[in-house]
Amino acid sequence: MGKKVLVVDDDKNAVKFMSVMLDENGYEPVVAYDGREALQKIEENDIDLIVLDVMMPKKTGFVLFKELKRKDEYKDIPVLMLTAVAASLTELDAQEGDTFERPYDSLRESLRKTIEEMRESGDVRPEMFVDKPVDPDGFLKKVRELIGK
Amino acid sequence: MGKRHSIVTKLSVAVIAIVTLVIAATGLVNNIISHHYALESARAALRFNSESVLSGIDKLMMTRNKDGVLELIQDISKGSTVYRDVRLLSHYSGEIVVSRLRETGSALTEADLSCAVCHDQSGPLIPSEAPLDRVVTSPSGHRILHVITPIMNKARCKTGKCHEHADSGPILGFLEAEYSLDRTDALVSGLNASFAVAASSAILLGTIALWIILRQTLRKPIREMAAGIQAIAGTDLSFRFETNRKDELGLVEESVNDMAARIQAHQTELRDAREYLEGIVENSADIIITVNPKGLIQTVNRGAEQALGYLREELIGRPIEILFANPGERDVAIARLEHGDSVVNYETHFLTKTGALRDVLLTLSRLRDREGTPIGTIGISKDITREKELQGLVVQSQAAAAIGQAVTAIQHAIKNMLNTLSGGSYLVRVGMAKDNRERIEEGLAMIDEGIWRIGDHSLSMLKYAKEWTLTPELTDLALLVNKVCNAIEHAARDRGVTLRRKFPDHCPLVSCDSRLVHMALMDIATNALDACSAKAYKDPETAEICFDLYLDDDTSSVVVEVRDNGIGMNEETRANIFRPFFTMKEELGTGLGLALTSRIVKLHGGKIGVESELDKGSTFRLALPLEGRGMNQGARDGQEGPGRR
Repeated sequence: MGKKVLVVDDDKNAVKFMSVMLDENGYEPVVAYDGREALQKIEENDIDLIVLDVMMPKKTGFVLFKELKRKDEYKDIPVLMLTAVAASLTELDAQEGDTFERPYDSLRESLRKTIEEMRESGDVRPEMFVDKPVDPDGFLKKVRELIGK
Repeated sequence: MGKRHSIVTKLSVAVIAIVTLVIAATGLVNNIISHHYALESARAALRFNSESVLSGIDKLMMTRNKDGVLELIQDISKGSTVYRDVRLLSHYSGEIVVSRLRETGSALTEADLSCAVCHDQSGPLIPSEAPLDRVVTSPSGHRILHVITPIMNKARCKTGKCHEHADSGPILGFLEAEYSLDRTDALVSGLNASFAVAASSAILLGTIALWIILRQTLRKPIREMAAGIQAIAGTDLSFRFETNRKDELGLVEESVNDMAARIQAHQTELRDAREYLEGIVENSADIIITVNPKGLIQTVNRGAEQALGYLREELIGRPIEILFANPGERDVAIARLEHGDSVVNYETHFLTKTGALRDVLLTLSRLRDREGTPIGTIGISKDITREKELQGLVVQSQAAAAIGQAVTAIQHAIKNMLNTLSGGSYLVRVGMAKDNRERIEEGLAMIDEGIWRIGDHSLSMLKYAKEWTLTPELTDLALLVNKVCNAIEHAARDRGVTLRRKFPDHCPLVSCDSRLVHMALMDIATNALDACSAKAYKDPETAEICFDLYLDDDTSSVVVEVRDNGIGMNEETRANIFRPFFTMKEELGTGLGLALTSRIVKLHGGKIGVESELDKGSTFRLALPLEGRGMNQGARDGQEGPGRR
C-alpha cells in the first residue's frame, strides 16, 4: 500500500500514463478528470500528493489549487503542477513584479497571469512544475522528492 | 464717337441766336411804331396848322382882306422848308387860287388828289366822313403827306359883300397842304440805324462777355473735373477734389470724391482677401498645384516645393505628367475627373526631383469660369508616405505577433500529442518488461490515439487554412439547432447538463450553407458543454444550456443564441475568443474552432458576438441575415487576419 497520489487531468491518456507510472513505482494512483471530481476524491481519500494539470479548460485546475491552499486541512498537501510550459513557468515564477510580455504567446500570457494571481493570493506557489510531455524518470524523481517512496 | 463740340460754343451760339432774334424783332417793332407815330405826329401837326391857317384866312376874309389871304398862303408855302406846297382851291370855280408849285388859275380835274379825296366814290362825300389826309409818293420817290381842309360855307359868308357866290354850295374851297415826310423818314431811319448799331455792338460785346464767362464758369472747371476723374479711373484712387464750390459742380465733385473713396475701400478689401487666400494656399503644408487646360503646371505652392524637392520655377510650364510615378494612375485620375468633375482622396504616387517615390492622397477639382468653360484643374495632395510606412510597420508587427501566436499554439498542441505518444510508448515498454499484455494493449491504444490526434489536428488546421465557398440553400434554422441538440444530447446527459430550446412559431427561412452553419453551431454547443463541465455548481443551480431562436427586425436577421451558465470567461478571454489559435483547451483544442465559426458567420454576411461573466456563464449570439443579404460580398473569402489587405 503506497502513498496515494491524486492525478487530475482532463486528458484520459495523460491520466492513464501517469497512473501506470505511479503504480509501477509503488504509489497508489487516484484519478479525477476535472476540478470538481478532484475535490470529491480528496474529501473521500487521504491524499499524499496531488498532480494537477493547470491547463485544464476554464482554469479549473487552478481554481482547485486555490481552494486547496485556502482550506486548512488540505493546504499542506504538496501539489505538483503539470503544464506544457514548465520551463517558462519556472522562469516566470522567479520574476518579481509585472513584466510586460509582448503578446506573441497568449498561452504564456495567460500563464503569467496565473502566476500573478498565485502571488496575489498570498504568495502561495505550487511545489513544483512538471513539463509535458511527461518524462517518466523526471516525473518520478519529483514525486519522490515531495513524498518519498 | 464724333468730334467733340465745345459746350461753351454751343451755349454761346444758342444764346446769341436767341438774343439776336429778340433784338431784331424788337427793332422791327420799333421801326413800325416809330414810323406810325412819326406819321401821326406829322398828320396832327399839319392838320392843326391847316386849321390854324384857315382860321387866319377866315379872319382876313371877314375884314375883306383878299390880298392878305393870298399873301398869307404864299408866305406859308414859301417860308417853310417842311411845307412843300400850300394851296387855296376854289370849289366854286374849280380853280387853283393860290399855289407855289402849280399855276394859279389852272383848273382842277377829277384826277387831282384834291378831288379824289371826296369824289372817290360815286357822288360826293360829306366832308366829315372823308379821310382828309393821305400819304402819297411823288414821282421822284419822296413821301408826301397830303392834307385837305375844306372851307365851309358859313352863314356869314353868304351875306358877305366881297363874294359873288352867295349861293354856292356847302364848300367854298379847300386849303391843301403838302407836307414832305422826308425829314421824319430820315429821322426814323436815323433812329433805326442807331438802334441797329447799338444792338450789334451790344450783341458783339455780349457774345464776347458770355463766351468768357461760360469759359470760366463751365469749361475750365469741367475740364478740371474730367482730368480728376481720369486720374481716378486710371491709377490714382487716392486723388480727391479739393472742392470749395457751392454750386452743382461742387456737388458733382463731392460725389466723385465719395465714389473714389468707396472704390478705394473695396479695392483694399479685395486685395486683402486675395492676399489672405493666397497666403493660405502658399503656406499650406499640402501639395497644391494648378494646371491649365493644356495640362501644363501653372502655380505651385510652398508645400509642393518642400514635398517634391523642386523650386516652383522648375515646375511651372512643364506638363503635370512628370510628377506622376505611374502614368496609368494619372490616366485613371483624369478619366474620373472627366466623368464627374472631381476626384477625392485618390491614392497615387508622385516622384520627387530626385526620383524618390511619395505616397499621396490626391484630390482634383476642375476650375471653371463664370460661363462654365474649364480654365484649369487644381490638385491638392496629402503626402501620406510616412503614414503608410507606419501602417506597414504596424501590419508587420501584427503579422509577426500572429505568426508567433500560431507557432506557439501549434507547438503546444504538438507537445500534448507527444505526451500521448510517449505515454503510449511507456505503457508498451512497461507491459513488455512486466510481460503484461493489458499494458501493452493500453499503450498501443494510446499511441493510436496520439496518431489520430495528430491527423485530426492537421486536418483542422487545413480546414482553417482552406478558402471556403458557400453553397447556400434556404434553411430552417430551427431544424439545424435541433440537429445540434440531438448530437450533444448524450454527452450533455452524461455531464448532467440540461438542454433547453426556445423557437418562435414561424421563423423565416434563411439562405445559408447549412453544413457550415451546422459546424459552427456544433462548435459553440460543445464549448458550452465544456464550460458547464468545468464549473462546480452549487445547489440549487444546475448546468443548463439554452438555445434561443428569434427574428431581429432592426437588422433583419435571424439570431441563434446559445446561453450557458457554465464557468464563463474573463474580459481578456472574451475579447480574444474568436482569434485564431486562442485556446483554453491546451490538449484538445487547436484554438481554431471559434475562429473558423467566426469566419463562417462573416461569409454569410452575418455577425457573431459573445457576452460572458466569470462563474456565471456565457451567451453566444449568431446573427444570419435574411435572404442572404450581404452574402455576395463574402461568398468567396480569403484568409482573415494581418498580412492581407
